[in-house]
Amino acid sequence: MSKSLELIVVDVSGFAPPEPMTIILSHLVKLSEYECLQVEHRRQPFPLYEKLTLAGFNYHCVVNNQESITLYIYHSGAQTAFECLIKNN
Amino acid sequence: MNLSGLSFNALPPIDLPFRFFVSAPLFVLFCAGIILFSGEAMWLSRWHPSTLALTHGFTLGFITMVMMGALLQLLPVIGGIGIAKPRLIARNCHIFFTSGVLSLIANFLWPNDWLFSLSFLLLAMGLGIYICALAWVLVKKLSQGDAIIGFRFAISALVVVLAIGLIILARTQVNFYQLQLPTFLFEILLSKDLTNSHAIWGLVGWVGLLIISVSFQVIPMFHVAPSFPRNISHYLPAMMFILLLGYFYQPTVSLNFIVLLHGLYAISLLWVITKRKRKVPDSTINYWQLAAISLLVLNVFYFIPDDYISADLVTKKAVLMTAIFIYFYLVAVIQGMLLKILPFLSYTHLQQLCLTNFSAMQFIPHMHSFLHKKHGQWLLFLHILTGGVLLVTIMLPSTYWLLALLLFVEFFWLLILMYKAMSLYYLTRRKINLSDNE
Repeated sequence: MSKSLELIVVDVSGFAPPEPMTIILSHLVKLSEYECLQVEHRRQPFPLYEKLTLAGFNYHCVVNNQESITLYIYHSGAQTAFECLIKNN
Repeated sequence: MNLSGLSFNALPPIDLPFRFFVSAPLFVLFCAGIILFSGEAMWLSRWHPSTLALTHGFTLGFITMVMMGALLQLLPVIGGIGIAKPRLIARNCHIFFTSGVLSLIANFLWPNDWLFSLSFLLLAMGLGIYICALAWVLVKKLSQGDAIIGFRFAISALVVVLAIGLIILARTQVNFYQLQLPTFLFEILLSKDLTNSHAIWGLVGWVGLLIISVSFQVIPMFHVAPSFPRNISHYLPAMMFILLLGYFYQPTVSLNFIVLLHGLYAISLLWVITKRKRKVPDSTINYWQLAAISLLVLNVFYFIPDDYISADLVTKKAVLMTAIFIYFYLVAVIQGMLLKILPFLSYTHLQQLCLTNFSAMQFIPHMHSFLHKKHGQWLLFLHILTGGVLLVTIMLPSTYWLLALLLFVEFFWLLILMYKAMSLYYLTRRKINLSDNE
């Protein structure tokens, strides 16, 4: 896939569980192969990771500090496009 | 820090923690029966067989049971990794531990060789396997957060509690004088202070440290509150553990500092709660507030000179303090956490089922459907009422029947709340599975 990814940014850091997961899932339903979901969160959603892989998504987590992470979620077919996106940013 | 590509364990099946949670209130219902049928006599001495049966029914049957179930789910959520072979380990630990506690209670009430051997073996197996499974996870270096470090101290404390408990149990049946033991070991095994050490390590070390460590993670997470002050979350669990070690040598001095540290924790807990962003009515927050205030009351009661309180209170001071610590702090936090994690776990597990079938999300009910807010408030009200009657019963044993009745009502209500949440979970899961097959 050569087309560049469009970032969809969502900030769930001000929500209590399970709202962050609900918001993430509602965005994943609509996420196309040309989009990447960028999630700003207070902690890593560990239980989500294995399920994401099973559902055909890849993820990349950047831990900013103890209370802030940035999680990128995209379709597994868009790995090359995602690597370009990260390199350019 | 890039964590992509790491293989994280998914949450263990929900029926595993559920079986621990459901068993816990059943033990308290059993304890209510012990109180009712033992009468006033059991309140006259902490060594009364019924008192020993009651304290172990409560601390092992309810408190430890819930904590064992909760840790199964908390480790993957907080640390990113769960225990290996969760079904095999959790199922067997639950069976061994439940029957071990039952046989221990029976051994206190009707002591005999057979019950002694059975309780010794089952508790050693149930807790031993559980400790090994958890230690396997906790020695990994995936997460070095303050909560995980606190878990390590708590599990280490559980090893000490189990070891001392098994020695005390063995003391009732084995004649150590016949064994050729080194003098120092002989003195340790027969020390009269072992019982106090067993109680302090169990209440402050195992349960207390676990609750404190869990709070560092779950209060900021569930209530969108700031993190605990760094000095508290980083140093308090280690200091508490060192003081517990010191308790073996200098019990009074160590206990003074243990009580003070709990006061410090209570103040920081109240500060974090006050600073939370989501100030919505929440029973769990009320439970945390109750626990923090109880710890502060405990500090005042502990440090106030005996001259300023009545002779009756002085006589019963140790028992009253233990009751406040267990009922208004430990049990309060555990009940509050149950009110939070039962709907959360049910909802999260259902959400995860929908990850491969997004359209099934329509079947997931609202979080509050799993546990109505006012039902949680009723439980809190019952808890405060029962706790009050517990303190009255310690001073006036003739009210034991009222305590038994209220304990029964409170924990039967908790059981009903659990049943409602679980049945809604299974009903929804069936709908999601049916939609998957369509």
